[in-house]
This record gives sequence, C-alpha cells and structure tokens, in this order.
Amino acid sequence: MTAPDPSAVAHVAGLARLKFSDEELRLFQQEFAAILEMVEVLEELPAVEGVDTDSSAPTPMRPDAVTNANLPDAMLANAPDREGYHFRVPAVLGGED
Amino acid sequence: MTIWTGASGTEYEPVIGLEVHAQLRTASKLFCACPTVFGAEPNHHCCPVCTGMPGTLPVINRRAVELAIRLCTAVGGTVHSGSVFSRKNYFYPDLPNGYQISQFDKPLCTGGGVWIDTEETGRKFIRLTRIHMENDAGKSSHSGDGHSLVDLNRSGMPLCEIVSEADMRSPQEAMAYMKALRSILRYTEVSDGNMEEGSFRCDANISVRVMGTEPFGTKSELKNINSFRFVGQALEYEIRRHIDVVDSGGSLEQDTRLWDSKKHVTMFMRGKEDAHDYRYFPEPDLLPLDLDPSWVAEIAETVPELADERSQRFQADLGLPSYDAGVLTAERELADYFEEAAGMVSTPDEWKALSNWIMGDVLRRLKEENLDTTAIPIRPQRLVQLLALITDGVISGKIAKKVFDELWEHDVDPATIVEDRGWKQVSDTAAIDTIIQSILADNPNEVEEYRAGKTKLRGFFVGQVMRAMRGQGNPQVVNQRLSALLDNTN
Repeated sequence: MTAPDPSAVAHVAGLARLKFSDEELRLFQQEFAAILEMVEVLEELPAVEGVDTDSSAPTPMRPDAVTNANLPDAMLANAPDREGYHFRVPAVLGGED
Repeated sequence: MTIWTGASGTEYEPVIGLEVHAQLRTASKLFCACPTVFGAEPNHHCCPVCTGMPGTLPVINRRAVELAIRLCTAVGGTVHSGSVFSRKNYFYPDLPNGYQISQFDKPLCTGGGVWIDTEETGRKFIRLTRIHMENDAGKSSHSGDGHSLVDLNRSGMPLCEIVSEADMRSPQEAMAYMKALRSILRYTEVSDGNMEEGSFRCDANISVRVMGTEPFGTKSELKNINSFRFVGQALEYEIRRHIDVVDSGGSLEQDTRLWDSKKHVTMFMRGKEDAHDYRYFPEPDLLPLDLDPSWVAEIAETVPELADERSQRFQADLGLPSYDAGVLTAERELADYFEEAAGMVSTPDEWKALSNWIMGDVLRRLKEENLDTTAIPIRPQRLVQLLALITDGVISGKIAKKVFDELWEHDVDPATIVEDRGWKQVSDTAAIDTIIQSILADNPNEVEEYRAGKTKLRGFFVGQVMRAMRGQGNPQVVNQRLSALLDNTN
C-alpha cells in the first residue's frame, strides 16, 4: 500500500476546514497510510455470503409520535459556549445546502 | 414569448431546472421523536439524535415515508422499494453529525412530472428526475461579533427533495412550475408549502444557449430562494448576466450564487473548484427502505383529484374559462368551496357568476384581512342565495356588494338582510316615473340640451335617478323609463 498523496491529505483537511503545516501533513500522511493498511487486512478475510445484512428483516419504522421532552439545558450542557439557548461558535459565513 | 437578445442581436434561450425542498407534514422529525412545530425557543425541539450525539441511532418515521410515497404517486413517478439512505458529508456548524442523511444513487422515486400552464407557452409537461428523502440541517444566524449562533430545532426535519429535468425555458415557466408543485404538495397534504417558515425552498440551475442549438451552456446554481417572486427576479437577472458574458465573447465559470433580494443582484458564493466533495456512502445505521407493495398501493389510493385535473374538469363540465378554473383550483379549499356552491346551481351563467364573485370579492376580502382560503366566513349556500336575489331582480349588482359585506360579518339569509335594510330593488314603473319626472323638471337646461342632440347627458340623468333612488332602482327599468320620458318615444 502506497501512502496517500500529500495533496489528498490536504484536500481532506480542507473539506474539514482544517489547515496544517507541511510537517503536520507528512505526519497525517503516515497515519492515513497506517489506517488504510489496517483496513486492507480486513479485505484478506474470506467473504461469507448473506452475513452482511439480514435482508429478510423489514425496515424498522417508528410511528409518527412526539415522545421527546424538551431538554434544552441538557442539549447545551457540553456546548463550548452558549448565548441564551443558542450554541455560540466561531463565525462561518457563506451558506451550505 | 419573451425573446432574449444579446447586444450582437443573437437570440438566446434560457434552460432552467429546479430543485425544491419541501418539508413533510409530520408531527415528529424524520429520525427521532422531536416535534416539528415551528417557532419554538432555540434548541428546545432537539434530542441526542438530532444534535448528533455519539452512540445515537436514527429510526425512520413511518408517516414521513408514507407522505413521500404519496407525493411520488401524485406526480406519476415510479416508487422504488429498496431505496438506500446515504451520508452526504460536509462540515458546517449547523450540521452536528458532520453529514446529512440523504439518498444518493438509489432514490425513493424516479420519473413523473408536473403540468404547468403559462400565458406565454400554454400547457407544458415538466419532467421530474427524482424525488428523495433527507433530513434538514439546523439554522445558524450571525451575531455580528465574530460568532455564529446555532439553533438545532430544524435539524432532522423531514424533507423531500424534488429534482426537475432542465425543461423550463423562462422565469415564468419556473414560477408556474413552483406554483404547480406547491399546489400538489398542499392538495395531497404532503406539505403545508409554507414559504415563510422554510417548508418550501428552491435551488435553481440556469444556463443559456444560442436559440436553436442543442448543447447546454455553462450553468450557475442559485441557492435557497424562498419566494415565487424572488425566483422570477433572480432568474431574470441571471439570464441577462449569462447572455451579456456569452454574447460579448466571454466565457462563464460554473458557479453557485445567492440572490440578494434587497440589491436585486446575484452574488458569487463559490466556484467549481470549491464544489463540494460530499464523499457519499451508504448510511450504515439504516437498512434499505423495503416497501410492501400493498402499502404503496394503499397510499396511492389516498391521492385526491389534483388542481390540474380539477381545472380541466371545471372547464369541460362547467364551461369556465381556463383562467377562472386556474384561479379557483390553485388552493384545494377554494376549489372545494366553489364546487359546493356550484352544485347548488345548474347553468353556465350561474357557474360563471359564482366564479366572478369568488375570484373578485371573496379573494379580495381574504387578501385585505390576511386570511387563507380555509377561513371564508360566508357559507357557499349564502353566496348562492345572494346570486339568486340578483338573478331574480330583487337587488341590483351594486346593492349585492353591500349585502355581501353584511354576509361577511353575519351568517344570515341574504333575503332577510335585503328586507331588513329596505334594499329591495325598485322595479315599479309608476314609482320610477314619478322620480324621473321630478328630475327632468329640476334640470330643464339639461333636458333641452339633450333633446337638441347632446345625448351623452344620458348618463347624467341615469346617475341622478339612481342617486334619488339610493341605488335601488332596477337599472333596466330605469333605462327603459328614461328612454320613454326623455326621448318621448312612449
């Protein structure tokens, strides 16, 4: 397994809105390679038919009922910062889908 | 038909496709049991699932699936059993999981389409590419001090994304398509289509090509437009911008833009090189959506007659003009209202008269009072009774407007209103003659001028008589008697 291209690492970092120094990129390149190698080991295992999903089971669905209680304080308990009942985060401008 | 022409004189044709996000009308969210009610305090309608806490699992809402299937059936699409949910990965503070659960290569529905009717191009079928289900992201607002505030009440709301083919050729067609689609969503009760609350939003893909050529031009995507008017304006602007660049020999870069409704311009948001690499992969926490064919068939049975079909029927069976039929069927409740009233009369003239009252006075009052079509205070039966009073010559059209205003406030028999107020139309020849004679006696100069040939004074006399009779003179009788006495043709 060849290590991923440094630009691929930079691309993935960019998607996660992270910036790394060249030194860090080299470090993550090695870590990426190690993770991919680990996954490759799994591919060596013989595939067994029919164990991936139980296709006979119907898709579990739930009824359309509201059963959750409002727990705003619990939801915000681990927030790094809050303003009233909002999560407060560094500004990100420009919308998304 | 609008012709789009560049400075060089070359004619261009816009090519438009729309992606609409409609919120499904459920009580709870798509993958958790949080409420979907609009307008709660920030972060009061969320739980560990829709805030993306570790270790939580999504379980799909059966009603959301049902509504999505109903929509697919209503637009004539093919519903696929075994559709697959996929993770669409991107990072943004209002997306706590770091991915949206959407559908990618195996959507719930493909094909189908929507009929539109525009003045410019008439009836036209807009094909749909696909309909898939997904959850909504939260909402971020900007605090102005370098921070964003995140509210996750919207996170996990059930959405349908409805993707059209690039079949539209003008902003008018795009707006007509949105209206037709919203009408279907509302008729089927799949979505309330409320644009202010974000239940109906649109992304528009637009490009231009030289008229008569096949290949598509470079496209721009306009994001998140939430009104019919803005879609029209944004597309007009963007078509002009594309033509100006292409016509002057320039080239366009594929981009994503936002409509600034205050400045009336589209603003660059990101280019193709920043286009998202969503790294879709199948959602491991959800099984493919197996659908029992008998359940799908059962849901298909619940699709009501839709606006287009109903409009065609109103034209064919009741002889209504296409414009009237279109206005009356735009909202299901209004069409129901008209149909209930129409069932109580039996001639095309009466149906047209009912249509006129509903399109005119009823819709005007609703608009003035900011009411929707579920809130018409006059029962259909009352409107029919009012119409009968006019047809039978009991009241004039003018008095009928006053009775209508009374009916809007009180549910009483219009005949009683007319009786109580003394608004009955006067058709008695002797009474009208007496009034005419006194008007003629009071205005000898005008009578002389009229008889000398200044016939346009006729209107003056009619006006005087009607005023003297407080608008209650039967116009036909007044005219007839005026002719007799003024023209001496008796």
